[in-house]
Amino acid sequence: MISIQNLSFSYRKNKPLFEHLNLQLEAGHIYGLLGKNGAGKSSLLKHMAGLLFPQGGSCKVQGFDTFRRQPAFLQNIFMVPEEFYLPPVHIKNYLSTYAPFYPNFDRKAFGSYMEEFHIPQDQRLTEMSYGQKKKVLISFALATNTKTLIMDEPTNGLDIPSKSQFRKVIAAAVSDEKCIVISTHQVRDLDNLIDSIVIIDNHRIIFRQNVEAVTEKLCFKTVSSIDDAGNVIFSDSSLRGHTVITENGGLEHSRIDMELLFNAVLEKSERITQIFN
Amino acid sequence: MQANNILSAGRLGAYFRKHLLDNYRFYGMALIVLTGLLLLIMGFYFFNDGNPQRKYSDLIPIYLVGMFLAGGIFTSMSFSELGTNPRGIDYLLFPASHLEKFLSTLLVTVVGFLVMYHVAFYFAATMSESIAFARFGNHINNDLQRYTTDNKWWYSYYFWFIVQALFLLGAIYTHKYSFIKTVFFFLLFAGAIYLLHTVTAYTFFGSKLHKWNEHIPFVGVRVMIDQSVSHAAYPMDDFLVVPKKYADFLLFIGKYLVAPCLWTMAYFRLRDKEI
Repeated sequence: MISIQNLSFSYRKNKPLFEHLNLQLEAGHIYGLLGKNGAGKSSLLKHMAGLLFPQGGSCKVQGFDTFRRQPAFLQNIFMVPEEFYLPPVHIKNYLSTYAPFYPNFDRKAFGSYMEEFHIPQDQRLTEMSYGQKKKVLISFALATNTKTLIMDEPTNGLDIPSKSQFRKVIAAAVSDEKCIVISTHQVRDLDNLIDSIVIIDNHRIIFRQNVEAVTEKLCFKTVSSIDDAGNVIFSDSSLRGHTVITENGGLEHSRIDMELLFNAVLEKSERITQIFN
Repeated sequence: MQANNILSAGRLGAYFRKHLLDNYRFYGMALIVLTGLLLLIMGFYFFNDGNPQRKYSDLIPIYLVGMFLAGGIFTSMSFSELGTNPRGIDYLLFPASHLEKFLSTLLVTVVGFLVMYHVAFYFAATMSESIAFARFGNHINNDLQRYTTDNKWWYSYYFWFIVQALFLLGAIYTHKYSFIKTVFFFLLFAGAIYLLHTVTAYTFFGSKLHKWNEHIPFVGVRVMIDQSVSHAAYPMDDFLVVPKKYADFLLFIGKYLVAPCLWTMAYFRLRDKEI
């Protein structure tokens, strides 16, 4: 679905953002793209959408070279950027002008997503708050039924109830034909939503595993004393005690703590790599 | 079925409709402002000295300056979407081909503008005529026929197309203060051409050059014909123009190729645009 090979890119000479980056993403999954500020998450998404061009290597989505931005490719990809634009028109005019360009657009589904987000459809987009507009865009993005859906910080600007509504609509929209890539800083917003984790750091992909593989090999728990936890790979202290990651030797089932995993991958990169290789 | 990725008439029509729906308010306001400004200028031009004997040919300078100035400003506003990330992403990821997006802009800034400008000018002139009749009791004399029967009138339109194409190219390269930047870079380019031509003229004619600045690039150069004979009253110099064959060739390029070449450059620049 998304095939990035040997991607090299830099905004400035001698300051590479990506160097020989490789990444394969398949349909039927929701990928969480995580990374520190400036790691290149948004730039990677822009490469996938064809907004930035590889300076070395290739970036293909559904077999299309993304930089060509051909209509056959664009009608099967939708990007919800962090800062987005909606024209100052009525929702129904927005639908009548934008929807015909997406052959699989589902008006009924758009209505139900809007309902889920509690957004009335008889409004002008200019009369809406930032969060409401974002929900309209997310509803539209899902209703396009494009094979690739890219979201950059989609939960920014959403209130707490809207974040759970967001998880609900995304979970409902996923299918075997769709590949959804979500980039975010707010990893807790993606709890129970993503099924694969991609972490980008230091110009390359340093971690790419599905959630099942992670919980199979690692155990996430909260303990009052680190000594009680056994073979601790990474720990973080809080008022509730210590949240720790240990190797999962006995096929113990635990709930993944995305934030803890992200920090562990960045700080104990070698150890984590050893476990997964 | 594989979609046509270069140009589809249906998609172009739908995209053009979307473009108009997104911008109709701006175009409507632009038409009103343009009409108002033209009326104001015509009013000042016609009525400031109280002379009742007025003719339409007096409006030709206003018509031409207005067409070039308004056309340049209007075209400079094209591709303003690309000046900000959110609008740029929306524009570039919209499922239409680069050619369809470019043609829509070209249609609006050429056909759309010329129609809008002529409608605005017609309204302003008609209103001026009514005001003139109410104030002086006589109509503005329509003497335009003696100017418009000449084919040379069309050269102003050829020139307008070149200027429009230049501003369109400028608009795709610079998204803020595009009009000013385009004028600045054009003057810089024209200055460089003039300088280059000066050097070339010196290389060819040396001391026979009448004055260093008496030449026009692509047109000709003024040279001394015979320096050995003194003719104080009638200096022996002549303006040498390029041979007719080359002049016709250059004219052909100017009339039919410069604007399309600039449009093509703008199209390729749009295709290579990154955000």
